[in-house]
Amino acid sequence: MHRRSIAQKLLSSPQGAIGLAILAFFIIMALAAPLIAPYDPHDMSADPLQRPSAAHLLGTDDVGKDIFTVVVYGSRTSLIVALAVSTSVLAIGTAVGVFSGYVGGAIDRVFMRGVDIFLMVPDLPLILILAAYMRPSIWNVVFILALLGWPVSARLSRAQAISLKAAGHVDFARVSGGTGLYVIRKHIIPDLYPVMATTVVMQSIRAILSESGLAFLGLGDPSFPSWGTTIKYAIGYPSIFFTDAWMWWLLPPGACISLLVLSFVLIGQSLEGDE
Amino acid sequence: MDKMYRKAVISRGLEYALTFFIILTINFFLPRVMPGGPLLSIFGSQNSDLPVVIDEATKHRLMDYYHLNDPLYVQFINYLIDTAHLNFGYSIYYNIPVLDIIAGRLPWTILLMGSALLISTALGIFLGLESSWRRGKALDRALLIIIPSLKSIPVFFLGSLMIFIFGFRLGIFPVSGGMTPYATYSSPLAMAIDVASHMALPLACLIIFEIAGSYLLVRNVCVQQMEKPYVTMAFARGLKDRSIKGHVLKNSMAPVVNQVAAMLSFLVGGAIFIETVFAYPGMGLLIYNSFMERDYPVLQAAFIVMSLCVLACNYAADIICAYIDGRTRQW
Repeated sequence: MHRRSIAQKLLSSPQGAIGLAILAFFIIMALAAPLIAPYDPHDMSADPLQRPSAAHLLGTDDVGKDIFTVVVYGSRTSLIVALAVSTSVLAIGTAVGVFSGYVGGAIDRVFMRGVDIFLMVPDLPLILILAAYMRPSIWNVVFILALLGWPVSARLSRAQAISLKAAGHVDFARVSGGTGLYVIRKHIIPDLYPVMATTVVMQSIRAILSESGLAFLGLGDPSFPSWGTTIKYAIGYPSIFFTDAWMWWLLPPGACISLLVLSFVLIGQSLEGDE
Repeated sequence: MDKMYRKAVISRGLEYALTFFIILTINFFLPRVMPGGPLLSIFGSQNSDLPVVIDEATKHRLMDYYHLNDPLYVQFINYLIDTAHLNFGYSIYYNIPVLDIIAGRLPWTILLMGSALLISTALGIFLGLESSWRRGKALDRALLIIIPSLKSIPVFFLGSLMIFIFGFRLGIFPVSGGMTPYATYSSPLAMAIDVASHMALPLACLIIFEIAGSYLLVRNVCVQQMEKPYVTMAFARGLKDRSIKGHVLKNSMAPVVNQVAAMLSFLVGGAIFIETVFAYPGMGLLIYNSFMERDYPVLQAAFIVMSLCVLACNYAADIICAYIDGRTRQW
């Protein structure tokens, strides 16, 4: 019943429908990347700095990569990171939040104090410190983003768990002899679906922006073509702004990031509804 | 009441002090738990671009020099004492004390981030209040879609576009640095204008980056306030719109101040990107450069200083909130 109400919310509002359509577009792009892209994303055999042509729809970059191919494959990286980060944040955050809120007392206070501390730390400098010690790998990026992201989700699900704990049906289940785990699974988790959906949307936005941002700062995984890396090389190229190259080198990856994030923003708006 | 207020301020302060202590601890243990040990992080790894080969004797001397052979708790206490004296050691890359570098960079970032925070909050309050006033009307619905959508543009891409449009095509603003190099100014005003024109584009980017948060917050808080009986009563008494807005705004201020401070840690991230794109000589660019050079002492000290600034601002916001809203004084 809850699942259907989320789906209904999404499809009934124009924002939700547009957001889902854009997201579907990028998912298809990621799944069918080898069919859409004419070259291998690591292929550097083309002549560098060509203008767009039939052979290279968005031209080539300074090392002879086909920009269109890199942009198409970039959707895979963004979506993989979004999926991995949002599911791990959801799992850790919901587990900690529900446990903390349901148990209450001293454990809850200690946990939430810890969450507050996490929330206060400026995360990008910390990410850079961690990354400076680690190898540039997409899984390290996922690990760091999940590590620093779960407290937000824990706060949300804890608040919800506490208000549900006081609700009649949960009390009734407990008084009837349901064990803690049973009550949480049967009566608290299902009511958390809307909060969980919001978490997935928010964390996907954060993950996509952070992944491309870190790639832009030079933390990209060389084996995963990323939109952020493409932008980094585009604006790093000395005469990018004096020629027309910005139109096919800088604009497409930037537009892709913006559109993909926008799709999640729109989905998030339709989930929250009209306040 | 006042006694309780003082007590609350002190206990809040202790909580922030604890938070800062934990950040210091993380900062201390990170290089020590990372694979390869602390020395590796100072002199680079064997499989980096420039592998450093150190023989055992040199390694031992270096370990001695950095007191890395001491017991961990002695190292930790010394680290805390050094930090308390603002002694962050020497930069590997610049070969000057880290503190000197940070002292030169921090004012630029405070100027940039402070202006961004003030302007975006003021804009957010203005737009949020107007939006909640016209709840459900065309303006509100348009703002509610447009402003949150602004955050889908990655801030470094936004910066690149700004450089292209306003710097290269229109040529209105300088696109890099904090002021014109080697310039001599005829008056302090000329200098202020130069600094302001260099700051214009990065500032605009940060405002766009930040505005969604403060707008949505103010709108939500004001919408809640508008439903309160005192607003209905004010309307019934025929108060002018302006004075009703004044009342609503006053009652909404406490959470706004709190949340604006809470967004600061998020703004630090934006500043790193923006200062990098515009080569603005602040802490963000310093963090990026020291990351690229693997200048660990600078990177870690910059993290400590930025965390301290964020915590201090949050603490200040808590105190201000308690002051302007008597109800929260008990915490």
